[in-house]
Amino acid sequence: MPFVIQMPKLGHTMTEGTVLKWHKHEGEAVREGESILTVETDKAEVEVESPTAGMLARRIADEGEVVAVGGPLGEIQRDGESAVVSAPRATTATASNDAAVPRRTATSPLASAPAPRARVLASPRAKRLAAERGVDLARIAGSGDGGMVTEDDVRAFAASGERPHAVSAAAATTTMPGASAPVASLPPSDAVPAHREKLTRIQQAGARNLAKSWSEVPHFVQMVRVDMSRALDARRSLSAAGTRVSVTDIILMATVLALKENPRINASYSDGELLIYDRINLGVAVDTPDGLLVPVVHHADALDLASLSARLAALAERARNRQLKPTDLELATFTVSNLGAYGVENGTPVIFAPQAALMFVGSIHDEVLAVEGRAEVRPAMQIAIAYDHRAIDGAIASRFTTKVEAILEAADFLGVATAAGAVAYQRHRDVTIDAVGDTMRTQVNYLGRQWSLDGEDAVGPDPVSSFLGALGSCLLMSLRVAARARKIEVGRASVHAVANAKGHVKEIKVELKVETPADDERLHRLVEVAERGCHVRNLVREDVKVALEVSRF
Amino acid sequence: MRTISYAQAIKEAIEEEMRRDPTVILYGEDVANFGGIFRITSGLKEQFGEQRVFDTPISENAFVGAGVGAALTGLRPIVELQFADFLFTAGDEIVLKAGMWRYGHGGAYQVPLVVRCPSGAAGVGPEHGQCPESFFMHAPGLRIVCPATAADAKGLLKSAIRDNNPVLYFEHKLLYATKGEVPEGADYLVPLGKASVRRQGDALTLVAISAMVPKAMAAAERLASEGHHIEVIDPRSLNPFDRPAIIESVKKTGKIVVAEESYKTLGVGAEIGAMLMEQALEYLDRPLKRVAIPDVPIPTSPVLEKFVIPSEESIYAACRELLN
Repeated sequence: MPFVIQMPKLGHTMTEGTVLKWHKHEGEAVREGESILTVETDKAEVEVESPTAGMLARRIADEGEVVAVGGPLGEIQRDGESAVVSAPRATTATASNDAAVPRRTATSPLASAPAPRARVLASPRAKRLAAERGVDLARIAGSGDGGMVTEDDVRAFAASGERPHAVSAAAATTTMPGASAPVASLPPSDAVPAHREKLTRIQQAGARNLAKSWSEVPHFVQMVRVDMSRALDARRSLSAAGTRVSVTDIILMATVLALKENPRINASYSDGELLIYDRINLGVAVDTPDGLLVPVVHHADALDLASLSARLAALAERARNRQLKPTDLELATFTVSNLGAYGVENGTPVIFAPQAALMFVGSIHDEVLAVEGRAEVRPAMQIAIAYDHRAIDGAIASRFTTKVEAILEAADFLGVATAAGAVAYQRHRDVTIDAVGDTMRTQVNYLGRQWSLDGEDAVGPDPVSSFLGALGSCLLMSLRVAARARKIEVGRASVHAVANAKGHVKEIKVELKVETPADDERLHRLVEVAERGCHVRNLVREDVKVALEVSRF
Repeated sequence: MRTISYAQAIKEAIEEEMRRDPTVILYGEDVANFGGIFRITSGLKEQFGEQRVFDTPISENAFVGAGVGAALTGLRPIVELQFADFLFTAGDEIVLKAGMWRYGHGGAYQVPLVVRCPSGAAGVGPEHGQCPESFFMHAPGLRIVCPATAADAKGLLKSAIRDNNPVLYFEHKLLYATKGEVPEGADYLVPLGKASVRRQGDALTLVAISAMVPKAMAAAERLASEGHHIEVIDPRSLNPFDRPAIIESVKKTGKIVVAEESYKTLGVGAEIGAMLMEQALEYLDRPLKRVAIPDVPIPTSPVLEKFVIPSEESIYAACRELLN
């Protein structure tokens, strides 16, 4: 009985291979170990060797034919074995000879799906032993009647270090296509999986989608480092005020804001078109018992921080309890994957096509940052955003990437008075003033806000007026802080500040009007303290006379 | 230990049991006055008297039937057939009465009958030379015993006599003269249904029945000199049949040859093969081989008889085939 050469399995994921080239004609003598054909997998080209000396009795698979793993390729008639009348060839030959018929890429009848294998003739005892030892019977040349694999054959095979008789294959992953090289052994049998896990249908769909994204979408990734001091301060303030939001909530909110300003990122590429969405459906990777899932916060552009936080919490809860509905996982326009909690600093994410971008968020930890020429330890975080280069170019992407950074660093969207800490204070007293054109007008830039001063132009406020404004407002704030500390009730309060009309400021008249039930003595003491505590007042040179008059509403 | 012949061992068993139990009687054609066709029972009439040892007319069906009746009514008869082939003559009484009445009467009766059946080809042609054990393995209710050694001949016969079921006791004619060590004393018994491993080995299981045992031992000896250690199993009784002994051996060796002096089709080897398929398939490394008589009558010609009866050589050849 001839020995059937089978398509070798050269990796866990290999299901089929292509016959690249036959090196022997039918009827041609072969030596043991001699290469008789080359097969090609998606990773490598591999020589298939004859397990025995004899003759190539039959080619079953034609060159170019795709054969499932275990499917028959050809038959070797061993030396001394009587000639066997071959069964008629499969019809593949006729198909391949007919130029009008497309070349078969499916299988020969003997090698039809799913995962067929030629029947291995083996004694029950040999089968039992092979199963115990994890030996593939198909790789053993049988010595029993009719080529039956016997117990001794299995033992000898196992003792020989599992050297295959039938094929000699490269470690497929290390051989590049084109580098055809016969190598000694298959992966050892301990490469057999210890157990298999069936992925859920969602995971399977995710796997398919990721593979498609990875192979079809030209990715590029931009990374920035974000100083999170303000955002964390703001979060603490919110928390102290009874509003609990997570860091993820803050990052998502910042992302939504940045997307609103950069709508081309909230998009997908399809067939030569960029589809830009006005609605922001934010996918958020969530760890669940079934692995990472990506529920979607729909219409995130319409949510404020509190409702975004609530929606996300609800989705995460459903995800952990396996209660997500299919619609919870659909229609994301942009995805955020926050692995910060797992300690990962940075990564290169894979986009979920057809979305055009995906943001990876790393962990927050203290870093030494250069701040105004000084080395300062700040809580910092890296984000990495992957973009579909077909849809988004580097410049557009940069605007979004740096916008996310700027919004998070400013953290003013969190709507908290950011006097909540030294760091924030330092940032607050950080103003840029630009001369605008060749007029006297200047523009003051301050935390993303701006206003202009028109100098001595009578139409608008001049710098001294602005200073008087600062003085008055600082005095009023200082008054409130002092009143709170002394538990003195203060209702309305206002300042009318006047300086000499032209030239250097020589005197400033400040009329402070307060509504309070406190008696005159207490009021005067309060005002005294407020004036001492007023930072702007303390900037005024001593030779400039400041006259403070107090009255009641 | 003293050495006696298989024939002497059988006689000794009868003597001891007749002495031990007055309900044991012995009869058959030429058993009393002539001492039996193979001279096994000579002197027993003188020893135990005509009441307990007597001759019968030539009618197997009648006197085996008388034995069934005697057994049902309290005696323990030993009935001698001159040739095992005559079991067919007594077939009705053997199969339908002896084998079935205990069952058919709801266990109300016992049938403590022993039918001695000289068996085996010995130049006596098709009607006097058979080993028909497997015919009766097919019949329910019958104990079947086939000793291969002098010691087993004694121990198994004594157990058969004491057993409360009908026992067909096959004594091979060619074994009568063989000698072996046989324990003395009335208490020596060999239990029914217990196989004997005559030789231990791991290369192949060789099951041999009755006169095939010495041939198998010789073949195994020869194979041992060639480096193959054969396990020789003598079932000793075919009902009850020590199936676990064979299965255990096959688990070890993966290969089995059955040598028997009956017809191949539906012989003991066929039953063993079916049993292994049912209970030990995963341990088989080679197809089972049967060494038996091809399905033809045993020839009268000594040359042809030798041709069809399994020999040491044919057993050896069968083993070699599996060992190659």
